[in-house]
Amino acid sequence: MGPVVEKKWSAGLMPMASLLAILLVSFYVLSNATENTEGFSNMYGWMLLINMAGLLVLVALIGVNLFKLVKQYRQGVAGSRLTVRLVIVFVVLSVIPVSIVYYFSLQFLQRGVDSWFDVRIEKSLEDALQLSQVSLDLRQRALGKEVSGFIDRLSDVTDANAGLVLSDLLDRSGAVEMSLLGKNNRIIAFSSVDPGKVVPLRSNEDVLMQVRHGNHYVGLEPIKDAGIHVRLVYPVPVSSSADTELRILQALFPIDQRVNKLAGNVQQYFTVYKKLNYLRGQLKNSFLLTLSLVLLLSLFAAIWVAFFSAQRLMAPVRNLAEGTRAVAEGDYDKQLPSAGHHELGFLVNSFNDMTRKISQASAQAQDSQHQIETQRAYLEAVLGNLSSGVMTLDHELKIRTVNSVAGKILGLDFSEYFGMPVDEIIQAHAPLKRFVDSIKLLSEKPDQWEEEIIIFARGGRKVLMCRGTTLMDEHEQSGDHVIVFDDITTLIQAQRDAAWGEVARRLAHEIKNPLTPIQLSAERLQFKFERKMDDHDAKILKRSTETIVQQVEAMKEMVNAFTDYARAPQTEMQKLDFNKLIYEVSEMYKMPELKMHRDLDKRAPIIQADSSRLRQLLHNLVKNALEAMSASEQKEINIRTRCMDESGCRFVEFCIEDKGPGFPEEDMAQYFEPYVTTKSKGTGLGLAIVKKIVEEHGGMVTASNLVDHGAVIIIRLPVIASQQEESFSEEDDRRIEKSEGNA
Amino acid sequence: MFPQKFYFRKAQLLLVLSASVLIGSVLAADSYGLKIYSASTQIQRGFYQLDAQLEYALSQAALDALESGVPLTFELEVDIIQPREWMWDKIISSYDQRYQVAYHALTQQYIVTNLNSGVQNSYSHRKTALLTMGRINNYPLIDFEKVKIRDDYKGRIRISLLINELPAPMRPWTFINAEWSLKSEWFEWDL
Repeated sequence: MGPVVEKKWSAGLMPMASLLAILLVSFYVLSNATENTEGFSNMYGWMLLINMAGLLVLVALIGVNLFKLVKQYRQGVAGSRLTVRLVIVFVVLSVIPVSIVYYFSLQFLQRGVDSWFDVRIEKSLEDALQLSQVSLDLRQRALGKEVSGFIDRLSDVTDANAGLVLSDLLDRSGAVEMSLLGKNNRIIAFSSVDPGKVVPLRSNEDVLMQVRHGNHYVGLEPIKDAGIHVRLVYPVPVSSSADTELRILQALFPIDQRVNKLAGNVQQYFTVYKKLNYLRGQLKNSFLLTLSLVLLLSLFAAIWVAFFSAQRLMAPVRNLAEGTRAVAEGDYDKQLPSAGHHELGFLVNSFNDMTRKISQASAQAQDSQHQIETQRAYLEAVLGNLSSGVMTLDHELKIRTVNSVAGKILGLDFSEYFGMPVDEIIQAHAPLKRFVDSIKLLSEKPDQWEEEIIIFARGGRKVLMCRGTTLMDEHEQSGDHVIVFDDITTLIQAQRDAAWGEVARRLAHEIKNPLTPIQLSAERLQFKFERKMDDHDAKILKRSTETIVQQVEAMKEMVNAFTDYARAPQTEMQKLDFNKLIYEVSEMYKMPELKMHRDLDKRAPIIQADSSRLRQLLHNLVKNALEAMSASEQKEINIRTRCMDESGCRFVEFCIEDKGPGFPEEDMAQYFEPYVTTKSKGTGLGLAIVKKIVEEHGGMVTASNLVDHGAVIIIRLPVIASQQEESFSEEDDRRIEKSEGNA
Repeated sequence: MFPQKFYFRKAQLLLVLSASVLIGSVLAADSYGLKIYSASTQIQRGFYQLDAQLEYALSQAALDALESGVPLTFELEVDIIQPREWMWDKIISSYDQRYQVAYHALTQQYIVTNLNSGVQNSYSHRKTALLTMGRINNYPLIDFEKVKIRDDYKGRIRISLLINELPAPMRPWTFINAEWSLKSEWFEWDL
């Protein structure tokens, strides 16, 4: 639900005010109509209709509002609960006083109207009426007697004389009007004190009918503008002599003027009182109706106003609640519509200020974060493009950051080790133990450190140049460690090659060149002076020159061998069955006095290698073993190959054991350097060349003594062609540790 | 909080409001009402003269009011109309006649007054007074010479009790009480 758009108060107030104004006007008209005001009373019907319609409109409005509110309440719309409470309070506040007023008004109406009337007054008025009636009754009787006295005179009167007789009777009796009716109520004669009057006041049909049946009629009759009169209608007795029709005498007698006036007053007031008494009930009903209508309209209007006001009042609160929720959900751009100049309005304005500032702060934070991200990305790019591996560890030696080159150098995926202690690497990558141990050891140094570490990672033996620094935090305490390491294997190789190349060049120039003149000079000396000397001297000369020549030859051989070593031939890598090559070479050294055991692993895969260089390597190793056993009686060589999986890359391990005296313990580290030998003859380059060839193939060579007697040389050659990611087996781990221990 | 009587009053009011309309209209069907049995015109002495037979059967409420001294005023409306198919009827001429019936307590007479002419008649019995009011004989309606009557013209007649002529305190109640809704239907005849 979106925010409640705050309408102007006037917009909502106008229809409400107009409806209330119409209702007020209709109330006024209603109340005036209920009282006796002519002008309004004619509009009562309309007013009633208008008010009923207003009532229906209000009920509909309240119904709609109530439905909306209940819906909002059930949906848990913000502010709906408070709105419900406010509505209930408003409704109760309006219903209670209105109901009390209504109740007391009804009571007052009942008692007030009833109090106007008094049984005694009613009784006295009835008595007065009866008195008047009795009084008039006496007069009627007297007149009846009078008429009875002279009615006989009309029996024999002819129609022609009737007028005269009537006039006479009129004068004598004091009647105001007399008429004689014949058959079919035909007027036979008419006489009146008013000379202008020509038509008698006729009796009604009932009376005439009654009289025709022989009865007479005496009754009072109010005559317009003339007061009460006594009407007497008598049948005229029929004379036996004449066969005449039945005649009827009608006579109107006035009553005494004073009695007439008094009786008229009694009649008037009695009627008024009786009417009022009757109207009492009607009046009460009408008042009840009007009052109830007014009450219902006021009540419904109040309830509607309660809904209206509560919703108006709650609109800013609802907006605030929604705004707060939006801010909580991270929408900092939320702005609420203004709520006016009251306290809620200030609250809304404060909220808007707050969200604006939060929004600005958020934008700044985002901007900063973006800058940090950019710098971080830049730093990562720089680190990623470095040729050095960079790794940072925290003070607990947990891995924090590692650049991609570090992973390449160490041959492992660091992404799974972030946040983990550096020891964890060894769990899956045992060959890195030396690296990890070195780091752990060296990181305890307070200052910068630098160390060359040799590891046997994927891709073979690697020489790493590690430099570490401990970063001090703001409290001058030991913090994170930065370790930068470079793979200097190739560099060292190149340096070594260059050094030996230089040596070879020097040997060629400085040593080999003078050798030929020395040899030639020695041979010339022998040739020239041999014949001039005696036998003894000649023998000595010959032996000496031969020695010189031999030694020069030996030196030449040595220089040539050295040149061979220093010369870095272009290796031609090709697929090679290592087992087959071992078999061919070893077969050449088969002798009766030599025991040779071959244990070649058939799982050893085809390797990528230069066959002539490997062949030279094998010759050197076998020769070396044979020379070591030259003094021994028991000559035995064991040759083994193993297929090994280490740290995800596969190696072929080659071992050659001899039963010679073994290596002297003190020189173990230098056996693979040139000119280190325990043998009386040889160039001292055999194992150096072996090491060189192994390194050319990315392999590693170690030498160690056997437990009883004899030596073992272990060579590991990587399977470059198929670098398969395979996990370590525990057996392999143990084997590697063991061989490293031996080394 | 409120006395039970209060609720009774409200309930009573609503009950009376609804019940009076419903029950009143049911009762009206057979016991009271203003009816027109016949109406016709004839030309006599240069006039269209009206003869009609009407019935003033008053409801108990009206009778009570009459006996209590409240005069009742009735209106007799006579129209000459030209019926039209697609519109309401065109009124050619219209005549109103008002009668007032009142009870005179002192003389115990029912007085019927023709309010148009002022002629007043007294009757000892109410029934006679109403019956007499219901008989209209030779009432001169239209001057034959003055109004040209076409063949398609029709006459119509209706009688009704004038509530607005009742005392003001009664009126609000009579507006919603069916017993006071005394009005006949239009009765039409060919001229």
